[in-house]
Amino acid sequence: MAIEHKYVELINAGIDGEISAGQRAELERFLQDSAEGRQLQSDLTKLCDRLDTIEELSPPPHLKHVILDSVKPREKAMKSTNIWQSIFAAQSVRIASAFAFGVILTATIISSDQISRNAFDDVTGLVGTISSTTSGDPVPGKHRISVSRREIAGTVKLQRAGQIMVIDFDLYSSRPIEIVADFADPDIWFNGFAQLESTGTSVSAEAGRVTLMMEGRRRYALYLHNASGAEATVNLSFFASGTLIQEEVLQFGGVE
Amino acid sequence: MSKPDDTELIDQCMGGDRHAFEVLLVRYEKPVFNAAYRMLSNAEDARDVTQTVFLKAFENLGKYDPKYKFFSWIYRIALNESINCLSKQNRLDVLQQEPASQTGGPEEQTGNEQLSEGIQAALMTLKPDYRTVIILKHLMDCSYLEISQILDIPEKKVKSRLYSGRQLLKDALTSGGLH
Repeated sequence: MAIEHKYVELINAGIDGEISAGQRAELERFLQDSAEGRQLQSDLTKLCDRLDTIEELSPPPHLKHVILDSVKPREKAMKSTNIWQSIFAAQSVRIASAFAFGVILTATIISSDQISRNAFDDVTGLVGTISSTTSGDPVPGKHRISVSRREIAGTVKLQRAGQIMVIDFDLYSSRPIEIVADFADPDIWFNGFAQLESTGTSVSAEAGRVTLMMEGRRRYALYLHNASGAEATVNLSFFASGTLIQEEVLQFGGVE
Repeated sequence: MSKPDDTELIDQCMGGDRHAFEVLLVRYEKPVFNAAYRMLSNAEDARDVTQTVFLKAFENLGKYDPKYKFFSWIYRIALNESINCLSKQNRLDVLQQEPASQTGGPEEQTGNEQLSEGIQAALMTLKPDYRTVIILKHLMDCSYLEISQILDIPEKKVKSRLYSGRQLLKDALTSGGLH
């Protein structure tokens, strides 16, 4: 026989300690006569004990620094609201912002000694993928790495948009960091760059290699053209003051 | 020397004291991260949500109403951001279809780890409305009244969601062999 709803409520409230003396007396009278009620109380008590002992997790050690670096002193924060809103607002706005910045930056801050046959394609239509982890196609292979060092922390993700591989960097560094992206395959070439802030990251490209310099909280994307769509790897090396501090490999499993 | 309470720290933040914000961050970073993790079951998403929560809180400190506790306000932002994150990723449907299951081989896990993973998996089978009240009650240790203020719903609805959520969770754990 189902337990009357009123007593289910009293059992739950009793377990939570949110019950009056009168309600408790009523509950006890009910339980004396109801084996089913006692069973429900026992089951729920056991469940709540388990829930109350779930282990607390520690946030990543760098998170506090990333957040503190992101907030400006109060007065400045008010003036710079637009930048932060553009980063953390709705995805469509974020994409639009990235697009706008990307178009400008792709044209202004890249230095490239890349072999001329591998000229830039027009990637402006893809620049928005910098801020969207869901808009690009999923990439087979290792497409997400985490960096968690004292000098630099965050994530790097690889997405695909047709023949373009988009490497999305979301990093915080406490000092200037050089990141070298090596791709030995001659069918891959540097195709563009975009970032969500107007300054702070520089990029230079040559055949098979792109070098980035950054400091602080930065979100930017690197566009590589993968002409054959075949399997490829991009080796990422992170340097602080010329010392290699971390190496990672992103794997592109190829277009099926 | 006694620790400054949240209201004092917020006043100091409003006056441009960045250190006061750091104290608030240290105080609430862990519970906010844990609430987001239990909602999303993904540490990287929880990290992103935590970051967004504190940036939004900082930008909107002027809108904070001191008649409510600061933790109510920041937990509300955290839960809303977590639900936004779930919606954006179109995970809701998938999550609700996933059975309660453990990751990894049970024989290689300790009893506690297996139980903890089992509970997390079972939590993810609940609709966000139910999951939210269970997280607030059992992980954030909030009373019915506090949950009601955080979610801006009547206490009666808090109780109803909590009791139904527990029953669903119990069923999910039973079907997963963990109850």
